[in-house]
Amino acid sequence: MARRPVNCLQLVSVTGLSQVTANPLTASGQSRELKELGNWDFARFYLIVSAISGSGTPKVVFTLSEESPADGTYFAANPASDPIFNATGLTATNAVPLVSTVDPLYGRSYQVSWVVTGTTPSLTCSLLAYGGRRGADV
Amino acid sequence: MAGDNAVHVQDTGSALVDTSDLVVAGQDVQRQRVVIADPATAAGLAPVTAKVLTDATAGLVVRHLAEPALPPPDRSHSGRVLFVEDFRGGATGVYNDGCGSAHVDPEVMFNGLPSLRLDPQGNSSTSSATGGNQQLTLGGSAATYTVGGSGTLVGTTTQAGSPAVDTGGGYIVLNTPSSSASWPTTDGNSYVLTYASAVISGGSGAWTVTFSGVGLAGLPGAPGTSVTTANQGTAVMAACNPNPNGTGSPLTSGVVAKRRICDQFSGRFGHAVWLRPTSKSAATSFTSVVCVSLYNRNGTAAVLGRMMIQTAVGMNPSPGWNNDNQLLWYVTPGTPVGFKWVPFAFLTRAAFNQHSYDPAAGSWDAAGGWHYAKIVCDFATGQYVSIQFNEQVYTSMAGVPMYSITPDSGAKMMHFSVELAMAQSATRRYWNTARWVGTVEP
Repeated sequence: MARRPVNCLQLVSVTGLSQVTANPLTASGQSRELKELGNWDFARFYLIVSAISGSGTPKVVFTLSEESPADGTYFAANPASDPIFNATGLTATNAVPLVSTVDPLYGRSYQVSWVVTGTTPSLTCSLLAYGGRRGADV
Repeated sequence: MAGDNAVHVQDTGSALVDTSDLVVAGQDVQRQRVVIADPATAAGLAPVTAKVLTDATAGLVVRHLAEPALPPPDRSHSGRVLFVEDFRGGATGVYNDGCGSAHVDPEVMFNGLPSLRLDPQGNSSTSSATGGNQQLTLGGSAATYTVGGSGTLVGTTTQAGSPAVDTGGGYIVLNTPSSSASWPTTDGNSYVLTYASAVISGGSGAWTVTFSGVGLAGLPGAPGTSVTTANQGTAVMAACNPNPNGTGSPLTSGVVAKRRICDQFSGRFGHAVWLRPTSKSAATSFTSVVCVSLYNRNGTAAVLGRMMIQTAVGMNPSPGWNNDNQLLWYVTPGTPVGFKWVPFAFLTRAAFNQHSYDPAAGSWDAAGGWHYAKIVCDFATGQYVSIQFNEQVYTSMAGVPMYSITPDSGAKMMHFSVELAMAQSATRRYWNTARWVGTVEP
């Protein structure tokens, strides 16, 4: 049962070997399309906000989106009552990861987007998905 | 004594007796020879000889047991398997060193197992993927070029900077677009010319390149043995490297999916993959730059063997697929940009970019059409051995140096990779690969 972590904050233009785990988010953005999750049965997301700077209550709101197979677009598909993917957003650091489990994963592909607000905000975040498939590796 | 119907039993210490039973004129007889060292004919027997069997006489097929065929699905003619990546399971030993994604794709299966989708996700390699290419407008007068010929060809450009042309010789590609008004050749087919030297004259905005020693490259699959140029003043040609190309090193602005093993430049290795253009229009405009690479580093230098498939090469007449032809290239050291892509074959008789799988764009053909590629390189000598594409093994590059980079401080590892860059286009296109096989070669 193969499992592997995926960096949910990797931009599409960032090469695979040079990506960092903790990313300072200073503006809104979105990850590359996390195609790996389309081949997984389940995923568990881990978020750590290790540093926050700026004024005006710097905040980040994460959204988990799922691909529509019909046209390839992504639509918001946050898990219900989720500590990471919710409209309230995050304004504080956390040493213990916030955890979100999506089981099963139904979608063909997923993408994480984030909206950063505040004055000269910077929120250093690591958001990893760890998951895989159940059963034999065939 | 003869005809006594007795068998003489050997007397210990006496003469040796050798008895044979045979039929002579319908009678069973026994004949003896006394000394075993006597020739077989001593008793009147015909000598017995072994018959040498040949293919023609015995219908035999000679197989070289030292190099058994690789397990299917495989079209290779040689090699001992080092590893197989068939992408079963949710993860794989192949990793993307570039942008976008290389992910296990259960929607496009091969041999009952998932494939690996190479998807730059719209990331464009705009500036770097034209390395060493010089686009010129066809100038001068119409002329005919033949294999081994030595003509003159003129190209012009209105660019500001001096044309980047290897004045010491190289290649010119006459690629025919779909519109006949823009064909650089009278017959509408694409050709590759070679030239021995070039002279650049003029100045900013009005450059002229005069190529000398121009002949037709007699590539396998070339549509003819002579070519006549046409549409001077409007048709274009690509001097030196193709436009675009995979540059000397893999383009990390695209997908660089790789598997590594470690080896101290011990000898010959092979890298075999299956691949298909998957998304709609994945190859029609030659914006997809796909390469199969096998390279190693020793801590101070990198040595790379690479092949590239130039798609959308025009041929006329063609039964409805004018641009569904290919030109194959390998990379070697060259000027003026350090590397030179060398063409080695046209492919005109099999489909390439058909039967896409791109549901969002209305293409649902999951079967597609798979191509086989295998590159074999000798790292002990730093030279190519062969490149196979589908059924054909090409050896014109045998003994040609692989592209080398010095200094190079990359990790001392041998790489088996497939790369896909989206040159000059942010349009979403993707390819799939399957069943990577790394081999040791004789």
